[in-house]
Amino acid sequence: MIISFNKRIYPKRAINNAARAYKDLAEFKISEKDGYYITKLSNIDKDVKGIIKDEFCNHIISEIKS
Amino acid sequence: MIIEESSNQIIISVNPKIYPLEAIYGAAYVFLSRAYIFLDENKKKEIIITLKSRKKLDKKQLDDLGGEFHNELLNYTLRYEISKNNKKIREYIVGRALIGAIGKDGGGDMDEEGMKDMEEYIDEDIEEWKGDDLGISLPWEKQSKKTGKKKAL
Repeated sequence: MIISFNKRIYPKRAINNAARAYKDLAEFKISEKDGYYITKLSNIDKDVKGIIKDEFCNHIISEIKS
Repeated sequence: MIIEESSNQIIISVNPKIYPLEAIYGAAYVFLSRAYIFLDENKKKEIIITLKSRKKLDKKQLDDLGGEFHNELLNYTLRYEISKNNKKIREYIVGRALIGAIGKDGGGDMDEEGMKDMEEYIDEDIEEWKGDDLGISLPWEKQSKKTGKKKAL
């Protein structure tokens, strides 16, 4: 699963913090390409496979605000 | 605003010159418990906000959700603008409070001359501060002098 976060909107610190919080649910690999942070999720816990993407994006927003 | 009933989501595009990114973050944060939110930017440099409802909603409800998000966006934009305009006065209040605390403890590390310098510095800051329509940046001592009123006990 790949999620692209616009660099002008999402600070890297927030993405890193969210990835750290979700480390038990999936493996995260973050790279940069064309103004986006490309976040690759692998080995996703099967219980959260359907919602992890949306919940992860929400978690980043909460990280931005904190 | 685009309503996509089949995917239970709405797509809103906003101009960041009108709604600052900080306001968008704030409004998005309020909606985290009701929707999944994703932000992006289009070629026109507008911010694209995708709100995917956590609950299944019909078209009318999705439309309402979008309307509520717009209201929250306006609310946060106003709060952001007020906070920006009041920055100087907030700094002044904290500065005054710190000076007051130093005075109560018997001066701390700052001597009388240092205190005077600090007060002058703060007074200069007040002079710079514009938009004080209510005159709240003027210390009450000065206001009393101006009006000739005595301090009420």
